[in-house]
Amino acid sequence: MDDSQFLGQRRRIAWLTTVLLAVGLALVVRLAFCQLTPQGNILSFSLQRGHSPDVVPPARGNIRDATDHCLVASTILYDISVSPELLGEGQKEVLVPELARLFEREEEEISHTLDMTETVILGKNMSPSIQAQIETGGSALAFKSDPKFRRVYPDSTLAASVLGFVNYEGDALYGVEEYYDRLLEGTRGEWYGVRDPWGRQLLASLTNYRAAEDGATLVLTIDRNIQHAAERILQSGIEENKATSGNIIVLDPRTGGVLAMANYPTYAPGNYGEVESSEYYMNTSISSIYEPGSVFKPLTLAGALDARLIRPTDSYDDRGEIIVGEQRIMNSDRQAHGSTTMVELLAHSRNVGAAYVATLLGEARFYEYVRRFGFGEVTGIDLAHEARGILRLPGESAWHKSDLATNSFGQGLAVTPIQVAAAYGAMANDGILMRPYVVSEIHRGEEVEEGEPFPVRRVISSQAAQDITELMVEATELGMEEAVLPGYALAGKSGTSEIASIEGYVREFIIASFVGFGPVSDPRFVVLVKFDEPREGHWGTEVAAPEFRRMCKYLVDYYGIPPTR
Amino acid sequence: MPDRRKDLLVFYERTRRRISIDRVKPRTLAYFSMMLLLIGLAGGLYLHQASEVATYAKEIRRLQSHKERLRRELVALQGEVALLGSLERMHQVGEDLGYRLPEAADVKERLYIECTPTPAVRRTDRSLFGKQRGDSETSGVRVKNTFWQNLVEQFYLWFESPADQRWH
Repeated sequence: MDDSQFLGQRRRIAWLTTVLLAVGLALVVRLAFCQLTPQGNILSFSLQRGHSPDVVPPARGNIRDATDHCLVASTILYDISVSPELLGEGQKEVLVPELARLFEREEEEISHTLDMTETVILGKNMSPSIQAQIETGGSALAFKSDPKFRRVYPDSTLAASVLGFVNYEGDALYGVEEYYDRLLEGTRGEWYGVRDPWGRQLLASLTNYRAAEDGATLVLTIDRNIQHAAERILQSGIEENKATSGNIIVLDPRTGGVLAMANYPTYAPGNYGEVESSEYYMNTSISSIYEPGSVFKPLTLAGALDARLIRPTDSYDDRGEIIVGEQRIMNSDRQAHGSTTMVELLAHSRNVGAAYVATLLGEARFYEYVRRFGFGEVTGIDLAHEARGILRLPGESAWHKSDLATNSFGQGLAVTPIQVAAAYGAMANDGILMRPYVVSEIHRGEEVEEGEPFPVRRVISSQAAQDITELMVEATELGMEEAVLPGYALAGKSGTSEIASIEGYVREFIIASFVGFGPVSDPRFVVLVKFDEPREGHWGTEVAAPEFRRMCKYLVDYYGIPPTR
Repeated sequence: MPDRRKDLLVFYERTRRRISIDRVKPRTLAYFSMMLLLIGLAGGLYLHQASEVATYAKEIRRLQSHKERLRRELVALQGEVALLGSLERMHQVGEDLGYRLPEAADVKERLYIECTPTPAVRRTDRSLFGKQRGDSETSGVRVKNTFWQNLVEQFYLWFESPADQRWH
């Protein structure tokens, strides 16, 4: 054998040695890596290789009312499917009646389903109790349960437009659900780890497990008992007066907290798809605008009282008409009433009187008060889709001098019901306008965040607030007997406005409303009642005032406020 | 004879036609055995580590799944409790038990107990603008202020924000 052969052999041996050394070294390094570094690094290796995490979905936060009852809760519902080929001999016959009972379906239908070869969905959104019965049954292997978080509404349609809903895609729409979506949705959990050869996640370290953080629980200022009463009264009022739609708002004037917000028509958020149009979803109390009509007169008088241009005992000469900006303003009865007191002005809703007071105030001061009462801007209520209304101001091209007069009795401007309720709240609250709100507390785990009442501004002096309250109490008793609640002093004003169309105002279609508060010694509630296009009555006093009284009766009963008269 | 130092070989074998195991030097055999032992040990340790990790991982996974199942059960139970607390059901149960909704007239016979209100009320409970209008009238009791109560009142007035002051 020559030297070259020896050399080749030696080289092969050298290569083998080198390879063995390299493998050994690699194993040692890998071992040292496993032994000396945290195991998280194994996982980070896994992550670098592009493994996606397992997602742990969070439960959406609950929404509770002021009495701590659930208005919206999250629950788990199951989509249950069956793979018939996994059922053993004779099991189908036993299962058919049982499944028919659980899924409330015909036995024939179930039998037909179990004859199929592929996997079939037996039922969607099934309750946990049904899922438990399936899971504990003898043929559990053939069934698959797919859990899903769903929203449940214990009181069905109660406060639907305030709450909003979550659609099938998981998007929060309307109301509190939309406004507080980021708080309610929570944070999803993630589960990173090494996967086994079958792709299943193997968790190797808790450092790579982030638990799901459930959404915050919201506590509303809405009291479900008051809300229920408001919806019942609204519904019966709609039926009695054959109105097309309506609203009742109950506010706490001291805080601005919304105690009830009822809208008609309404819907069931749990079955949100079963409505004729998406307009049903709108919270018309905050998003629809209307001409308030005579409920605006006390605000005009409040401004004049605050500016000390009139006194509660003053009178004016009612000649049945007044010219403002070259436009003739007349009373609704087209009559002159001679010497008229401020109480009579409100009691009999004299347009001429309101226009007269507005002219005393003048453009600048009148609109300053209108704006200070919160018109022409959103109230800032914590609900989605609030409208700001329409308010034309001097200097704007659309404004006319006669607007000063028409605006003084609530025509020529558009407002939302919540703006009117908040403005009356200011008169009830010593002249201070509060921002309306619906969420009073946010619970995030152990942490509780309390919402505080937010005073927007002082609109009128305390004395002016007291004076206008007294005027309204007297006026209610003098000219709006339908709203009087025996034993209690309530301050309020009716409003009747014709609905504007392209051809002008249509006398057949009106909006009847009544707004007031009480008891005046210590106002606990502001109530706004509004009916659109009633067929059985033509005036706010006829249509809305009786429902206002019913609502107030419920409230004094509910709060246990003893009669004072 | 090849130069060992020159070729950088780790071992040296005399020139023969074939190398057989009985002719391998004991030193070489020991060397290879040691290498294999070390590699085997390292591999064994690695496998041991990996299997241990997998065992713990499985246990942790099982516990986490259990926790998740319990969480779902809790959510489902909360949902059921909410459904059982519906207003309609409450009214029905109340009616069945013979209760009726109260009326304000019922409170005429309410028993009033005179008490001194705690001065340290929460800001949200109290009027934001000082004393609530008609507080003393509605309580039905006119409370005589003590020195400490007056002091607390003064403190509240001083504590009110400039914005609050502006409204007075």
